[in-house]
Amino acid sequence: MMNEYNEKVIKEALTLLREKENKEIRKEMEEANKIPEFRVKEGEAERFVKQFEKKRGRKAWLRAASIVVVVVVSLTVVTLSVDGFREKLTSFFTNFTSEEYATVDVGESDEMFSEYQGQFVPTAIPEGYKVESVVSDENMYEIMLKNEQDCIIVLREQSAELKSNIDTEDADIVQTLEIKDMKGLYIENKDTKRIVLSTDSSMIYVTTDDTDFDLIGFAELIERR
Amino acid sequence: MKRIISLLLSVVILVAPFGVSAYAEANYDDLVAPCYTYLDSISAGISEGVLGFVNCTSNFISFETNKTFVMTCYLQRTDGQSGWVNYKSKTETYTGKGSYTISKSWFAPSGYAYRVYTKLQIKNSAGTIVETATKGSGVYYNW
Repeated sequence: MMNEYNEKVIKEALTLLREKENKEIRKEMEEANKIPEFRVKEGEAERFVKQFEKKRGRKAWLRAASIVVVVVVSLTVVTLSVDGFREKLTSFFTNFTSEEYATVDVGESDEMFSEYQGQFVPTAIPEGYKVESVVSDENMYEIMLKNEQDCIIVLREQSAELKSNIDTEDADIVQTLEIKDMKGLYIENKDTKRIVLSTDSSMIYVTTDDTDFDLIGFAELIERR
Repeated sequence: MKRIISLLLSVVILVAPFGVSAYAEANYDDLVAPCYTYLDSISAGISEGVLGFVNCTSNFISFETNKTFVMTCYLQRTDGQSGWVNYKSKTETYTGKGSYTISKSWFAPSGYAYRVYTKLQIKNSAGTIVETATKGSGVYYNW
């Protein structure tokens, strides 16, 4: 209780001292204002006080901004780590881009495969055939040609991630072959011709139902762009 | 400003998640691949994509002109203790000869192994299923 009383006495004393000091400062200011050179312009003191308060307020704002940033970053990182949220956020973009690559119609220009760099493409389109479609995704790249007799030729390069079953039953001819340093198989039956070639990192598959077509000759024309 | 950057970096380092994924081939003795009557080939593929997605491919080639083909691309998964279950799928219907592909990217949450399973039903003009073919891809591990 004595401590509380002493505290109160000290506070009272400090208040009186400040009032006394303020009076002396006020008196000095009044004396100074009598001299024109030292007269404080109207409003200048108020402006100074505002700037001081603004600076003090900016420090507080920076402190608050730091806390907000930390909270937002924490929430963002934690939210992004949730699988369900990531799926919703990114599925729009990935589905959009995968549709774009699903099928591409190309014309008859020699530059039709120019954007497919690094892929095996035919250096010439067989007479009577046109490019019907080009399909490119992360696991394969495929060109389908078609002629007026409705025969088709499919040239596909597929990564190791794409597994295929190929019908080789009732084959009349099954022989090994080598085209452009790629070893493989040639398979022929009464309705179809097929070639399977292996590269270091992929497989090339060429198939056609055009029984008069020189498929081996066509395979010799393909090159990696 | 320096303090804000330091705080940001500290939070990101503390909270950033870790994940491990791997890819490997698997033995598919349980998947039977019969010889086909109306089919040239059937394929299934899966590869790792970005941001936890996998790229799935189903394809078939047929030279049949008067058949209808219903192909379904299944993304299957297993937790290692139970069998493969269908997680996502997409079905398309085609008519006439040609090469047909379903390309789809799906989000693959960690804690599972994934594969693509291609299922194809070939129907005649009466709508009767005359042949069914299936093919499974390799396994993508995302434990």
